[in-house]
Amino acid sequence: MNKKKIFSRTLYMEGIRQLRIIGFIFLIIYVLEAVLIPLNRASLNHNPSRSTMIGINTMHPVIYLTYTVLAPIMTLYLFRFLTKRNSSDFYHSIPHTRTCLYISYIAAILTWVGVILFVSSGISVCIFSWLPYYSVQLSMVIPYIIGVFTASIGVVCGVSLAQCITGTVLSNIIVSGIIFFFPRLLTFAITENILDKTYGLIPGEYFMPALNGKYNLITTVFFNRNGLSDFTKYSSWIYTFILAIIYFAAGLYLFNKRHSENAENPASSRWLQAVYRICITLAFCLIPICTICQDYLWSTNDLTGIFTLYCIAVVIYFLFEIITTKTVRNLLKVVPGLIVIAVLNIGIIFFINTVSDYQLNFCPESSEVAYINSQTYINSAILESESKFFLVAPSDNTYRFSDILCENIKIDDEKIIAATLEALESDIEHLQLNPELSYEYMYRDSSLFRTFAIHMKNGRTYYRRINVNQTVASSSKLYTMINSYLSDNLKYTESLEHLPDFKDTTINLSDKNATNTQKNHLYNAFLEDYATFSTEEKVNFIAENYLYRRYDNDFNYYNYVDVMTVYFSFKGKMCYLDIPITPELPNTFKTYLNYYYDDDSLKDLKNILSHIEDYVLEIRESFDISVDVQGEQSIDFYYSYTNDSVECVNTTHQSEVSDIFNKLSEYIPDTTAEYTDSLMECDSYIKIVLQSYEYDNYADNTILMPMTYEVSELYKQLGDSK
Amino acid sequence: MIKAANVTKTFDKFKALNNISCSIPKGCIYGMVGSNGAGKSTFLRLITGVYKPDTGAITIDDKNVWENPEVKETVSYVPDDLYFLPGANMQRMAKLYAAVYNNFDMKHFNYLTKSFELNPKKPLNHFSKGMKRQAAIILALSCHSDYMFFDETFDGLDPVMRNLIKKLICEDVIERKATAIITSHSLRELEDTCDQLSLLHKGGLVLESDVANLKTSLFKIQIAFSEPYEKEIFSDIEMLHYSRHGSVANMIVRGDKQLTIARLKSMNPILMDVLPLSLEEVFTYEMEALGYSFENVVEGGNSNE
Repeated sequence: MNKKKIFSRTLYMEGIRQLRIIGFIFLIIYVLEAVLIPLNRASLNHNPSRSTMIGINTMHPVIYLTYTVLAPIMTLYLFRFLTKRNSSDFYHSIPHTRTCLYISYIAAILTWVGVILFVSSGISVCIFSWLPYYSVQLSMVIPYIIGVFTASIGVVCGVSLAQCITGTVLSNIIVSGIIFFFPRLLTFAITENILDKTYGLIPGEYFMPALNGKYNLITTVFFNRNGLSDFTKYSSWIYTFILAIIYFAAGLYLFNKRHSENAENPASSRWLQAVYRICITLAFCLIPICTICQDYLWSTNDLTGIFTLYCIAVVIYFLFEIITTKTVRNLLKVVPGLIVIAVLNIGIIFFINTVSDYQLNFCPESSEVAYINSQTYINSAILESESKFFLVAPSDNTYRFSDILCENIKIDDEKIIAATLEALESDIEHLQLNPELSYEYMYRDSSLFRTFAIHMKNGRTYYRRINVNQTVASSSKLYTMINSYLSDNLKYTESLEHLPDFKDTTINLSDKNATNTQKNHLYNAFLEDYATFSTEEKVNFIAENYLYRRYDNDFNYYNYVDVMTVYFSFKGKMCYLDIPITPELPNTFKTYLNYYYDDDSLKDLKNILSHIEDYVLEIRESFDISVDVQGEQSIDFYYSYTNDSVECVNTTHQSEVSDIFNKLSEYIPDTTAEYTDSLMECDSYIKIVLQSYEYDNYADNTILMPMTYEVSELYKQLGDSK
Repeated sequence: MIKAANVTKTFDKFKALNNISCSIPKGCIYGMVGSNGAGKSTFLRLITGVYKPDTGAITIDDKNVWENPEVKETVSYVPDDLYFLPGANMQRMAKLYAAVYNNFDMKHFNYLTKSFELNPKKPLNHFSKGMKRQAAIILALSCHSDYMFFDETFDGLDPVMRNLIKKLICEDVIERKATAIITSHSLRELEDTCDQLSLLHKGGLVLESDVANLKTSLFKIQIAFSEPYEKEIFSDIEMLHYSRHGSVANMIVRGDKQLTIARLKSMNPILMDVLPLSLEEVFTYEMEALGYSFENVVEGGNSNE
């Protein structure tokens, strides 16, 4: 094919020229931000002993405007000739093929987008790399930039596709929205309703994965809480790029087919106008659809609300027609489209109910199951704390280490399979009997649930979250049966021997800041402790059985001084291992206490506790004390500082409380050695958390005290004084 | 040569052009006249390749126009609804044209801009309607195209500018053997410029002819006799129109002028004058012969084009 018929350098340069004003405005904004943010950060106080790893979201947050604002604006602007008859006629008369015009202009837009994105990101990276207190890992930054650029390609192609089948700016924008969001909205509503109606029994990431929008970078942030991390994944790049190619191919074809006289018409044909109208209305109808499905679920009988929503949908239907066509003449003609919408609504509701009923009641016989295995599951707790750990954790989905170890281990033991299915059946019964408690059951402590893949003999696989803390037929807990099986699995137990070296990890403490040296020592101390474990102990430790044991009062949940979370790569996935620092890890425990509870720290804590009001007067800030004991509700005291006076606002026995804390302080040893020994000898504790605004980390003032008889009496007195 | 064969174009249910066939030779200035909604602009857009005909074919030099850059390179088009980039001046538009048309001549553009006394750096949205038309014409002429199409271009131009532009078009036609198509509401505008004229009415081509031929093929004769006479005595003469006031008859005659004069002289009239017809009169009588009222055709009509 003649190259001139595909691409024209002169048209491309003309496109560059036409976009220059918008391009330069955004370039200035991006570059200013890329310069000002690091300068602002440089002016903050820094810990001289450590270098903070910084991610692109903090360095250069404006890059997310690239595909959400910059790309669509540029596309709408350059292809705006399709919205006016005179400009449309001009461009259809020029001596270039439409393919050539389309490709040349798309290339011009992407050039501007790429230049703005890469130049500004490069400036940001360079400046942050030069700053002494920050560390930039290109392996973390570059994937994000690639992801954003890929999403931008998709947006450019999608918006230009929309412009090929519409003829006004308003309809350009509306149809762009339909192209990007309508399919996603529909699948999201359907899948989420099904998942809701199955009470969380089915893990979302395994349900209809092809419909999981996390791979679509254009819309992922709107539908996935973890959407930003999807930008770093190859799978998302490839998916989004393929989507962009599809948009591009469709746009190219339709641009060639387009009639110049379609300019200034909202749609190329009446049928397309009907499609847009139905899509917009159906998108709104998802609200009553979800309400109907939830109404079925919760029996709220919200019929009035549903009826109102459908009335609004009808209004939207006609309003769309009036606004886009600027006439009321066609309103009667479009009435039959409402029948289509009604049929679609019924179809969607029927589909949701049918699928969810089937999925909820699915519990096969053991004889139908070939094997089961445990699956990885994105821990929502990790997601919520992602912002805290983001600076040091690689920007990817992070899985529990034990989950990854189990992933490929087939459990074909008939007893375990039967026990697992028994637990599943119990979960289903529990949920069906008490649907209103389903949230409490499924989500209050999601760590009780593991995700299993049930591989049927007919080749199908079903994924279910099952409560492993249930007692099953053999009078054992399901998790102990599984752990026992794993203990005999050589492949599994061999993996337990290969915890990474410190240099291959990223480590965080949940309550304290730590230097690299401290982390190194703590982790190596842990490895020493771990090496002393038997295989069974290692299995139980890695499987985090302490999470289950606390419900059996077999584990003192509050005897950990801190939790060390270790991130590392295993089998190509980023995983984490939570290590509660308890006396069960003696070397780790002692190392930790030596670092954070030296003699001076103990002395300070004693002084604070013994003279709380004086302390508050000294710091001239409000102060909170929280006293926690396992299995009991936390006892909290709030000291307010106002006009040189201190008041404990939630008790009328302020002097009594101060006296009790004074007495408690006497039971804090003076030396670290004594303190360590006292904690090692005891198996239950009281945890006192001191929080003031003078400190930037609340865990800086936490102290464990052995629950001796005297301390427990003082604890009771505290409870009585509230 | 431009050929249109059985071309039809419909917009929704409105037939803008109905089975048009015509042939426009190279090196001529072709005028197209018709009322609003007759189909003039649609026809021009079809031969420019903006629209695709629903039926039939349009070729330029035996090559299909539609999606053919090679053919479009030889065409420049000044529409009735002008297009300029927002905020652009003439220099910016010249860059756009230079990017789009390989043969765009910047020197010629600068020369014409100077001749028309237009400021190339002034934003075009500050120009008057007439100045905008001039700017569009300059851009089109600077493309040195073989085929130039002007859609109601002379509307809004003062007589001096109109003559200047006609002169420039004629120069291009003569020097480069270019072909120009000019559409207008008014025959008078096209009369002294065009070689060929056609009349469009409600999407159909009603009349098409060479201008010189039109002017010479019809003539007016005033004749009177001393004795009473009837119309039948002229039965062997091809008359488009006959009227009589007293003893003086007025006839519009088609045919060979000399032969007709000799024939009438043989009848020994007491009075005989041969008068030329204006183009408008020619059209009026031709249309009457076809059953149309010329005034209604040119002055009336709808605006669906």
